[in-house]
Amino acid sequence: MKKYLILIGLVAFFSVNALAQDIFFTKNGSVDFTSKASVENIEGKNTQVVSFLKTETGDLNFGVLVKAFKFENALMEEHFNENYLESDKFPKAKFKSKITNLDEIDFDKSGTYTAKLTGKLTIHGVTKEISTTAQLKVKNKKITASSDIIIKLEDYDIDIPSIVKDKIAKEISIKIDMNYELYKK
Amino acid sequence: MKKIILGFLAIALVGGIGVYFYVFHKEHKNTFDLKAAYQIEASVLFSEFEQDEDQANTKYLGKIVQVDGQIVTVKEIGNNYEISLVDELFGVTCLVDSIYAVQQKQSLERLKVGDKVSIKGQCNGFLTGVSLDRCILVEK
Repeated sequence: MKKYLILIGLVAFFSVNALAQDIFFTKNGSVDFTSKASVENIEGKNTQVVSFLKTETGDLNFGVLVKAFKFENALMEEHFNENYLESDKFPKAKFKSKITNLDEIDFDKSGTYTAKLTGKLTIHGVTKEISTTAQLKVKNKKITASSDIIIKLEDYDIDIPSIVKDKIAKEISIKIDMNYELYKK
Repeated sequence: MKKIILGFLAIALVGGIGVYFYVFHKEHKNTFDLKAAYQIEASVLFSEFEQDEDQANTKYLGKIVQVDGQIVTVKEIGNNYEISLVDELFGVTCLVDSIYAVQQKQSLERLKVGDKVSIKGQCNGFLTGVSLDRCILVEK
């Protein structure tokens, strides 16, 4: 009788936990980066970013395929892939982060929240620990997230040849926009 | 002598215009004109990446691939169409980007879940599934 009760207890415990963990995902996330230099502004856009948000743990992960960045200028797109990001060698960029102020966010209540993120950003094969904030909007089981990050190219071993150093900024602004939906298996 | 100088200036001018167009107006490759390096079933392409991503990247990354498969989702996102084959997350996702979407709009609008299609595009790699963009519908 006791074993039976323990078994029921365990099943109930795990069932409740499974329900409490909501996983939100998108595979059309948007990452836009801009280089503002004296000679020109360069913009790269990626609309195929995959991201998962786990509301119970605050895990927020992003996967970006470098070759999915699109540029107006075809030659710039070529240089970006072949020379700067070396996308054949490093096809992906990743950000694995955790929301550190999870207790301040109620995913069951519609509203706008400022999430604090800390995690590992990997670009061009180099991983750096970064912290940033993201604006989360919760409404009807859908979450949108937006964040702005600034990175230094040299931090990720991205070399810009001296010939074009006036055309490409040393610091790049990155704008992240995600529209999450509840993941149903 | 004057004619020779004028001749050189003309060549330099034409050369300059050529460089200008190359640098500022080099056109993005049109997938309609490109030959696929591989033609493969979507489920097989996904399996290759799932089993050995590095090997699959060496083979397919950056190459033009033609995939055959059954549509599980088709969405219009902005001016683009996103078509997923085999599975929405664990399959092959093809983005038909605006410049090509315009040309095939009628065919794209008629696509339904369950349709068998052949899509040609550039393989960008693997996240949860294989990702292709600059895609076009291969129509018979």
